[in-house]
Amino acid sequence: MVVFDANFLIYFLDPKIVGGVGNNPRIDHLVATIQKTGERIVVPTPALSELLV
Amino acid sequence: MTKDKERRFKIDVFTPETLPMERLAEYMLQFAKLLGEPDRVHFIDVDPGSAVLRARVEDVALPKVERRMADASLGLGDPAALKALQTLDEMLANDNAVGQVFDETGAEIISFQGRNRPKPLEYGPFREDGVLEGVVIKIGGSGASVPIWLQDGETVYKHCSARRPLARKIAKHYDVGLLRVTGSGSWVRISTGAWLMRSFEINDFEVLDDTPLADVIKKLHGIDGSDWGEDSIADLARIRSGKGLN
Repeated sequence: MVVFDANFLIYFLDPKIVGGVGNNPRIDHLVATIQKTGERIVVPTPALSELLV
Repeated sequence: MTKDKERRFKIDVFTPETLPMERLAEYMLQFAKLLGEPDRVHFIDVDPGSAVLRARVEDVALPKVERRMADASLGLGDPAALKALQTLDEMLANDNAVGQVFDETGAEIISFQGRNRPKPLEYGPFREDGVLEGVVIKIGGSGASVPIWLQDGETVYKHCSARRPLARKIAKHYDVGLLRVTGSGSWVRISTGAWLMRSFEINDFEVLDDTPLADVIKKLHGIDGSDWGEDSIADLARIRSGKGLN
């Protein structure tokens, strides 16, 4: 299980971030690793709330 | 004349005739660990009457054995002896027995509470609506409520069930895809503080989307109207600090 806070979740939601998904080897590696291992991603409600404000 | 001494472990509910050999071996192992000094402690036999395991302790090892048992009974000393003491008490409780360790004169050295020890506090069961996720690995039964096993990683939920019409729908997803089931669970809080699920009646389920994560992210990026602004990371920082907000 991995837990994403708003700081990281924003990379999944905002395509305009420089060095985001698809342009950042470290993030891309994490995405690939999570996909490969089938790890569960948890988003705490406060983190989601922060993005929805 | 030998100066070796005996240490005897008595189990009240068994006799040599009723004590299963495997259980005897388990008791002997833990008794030996409690005594320690493996090269100087020797098994003699099992006395008739109540099952009494007799061990001979060589004279040279007796002070160490006595110290080890005295420490263990006070919760001190070698962790292995403490563990053996606790295990023996657990085993006695499970066998609905009590036990004692005696010396060769019949003087009691250690008394095990076994079945008489205070029952651990357990709360519940409590019923609460909940959600479980997992792959159906077993489903089927003859009653109105069909038993279902769900596997979520290394965790297997063995106490789920669903009414037959719903179970028929769930059965179509046997061993394929991850399901999220909702329903009502019965939980108990055991003495260690952990919660154990006794049963879970499934009321509904959904098949979870197994789209690759990278594709999900692309979809999220493509949602119209998300309007994150020019620098969403800086926006987040401003929200947290309160600086620059009206």
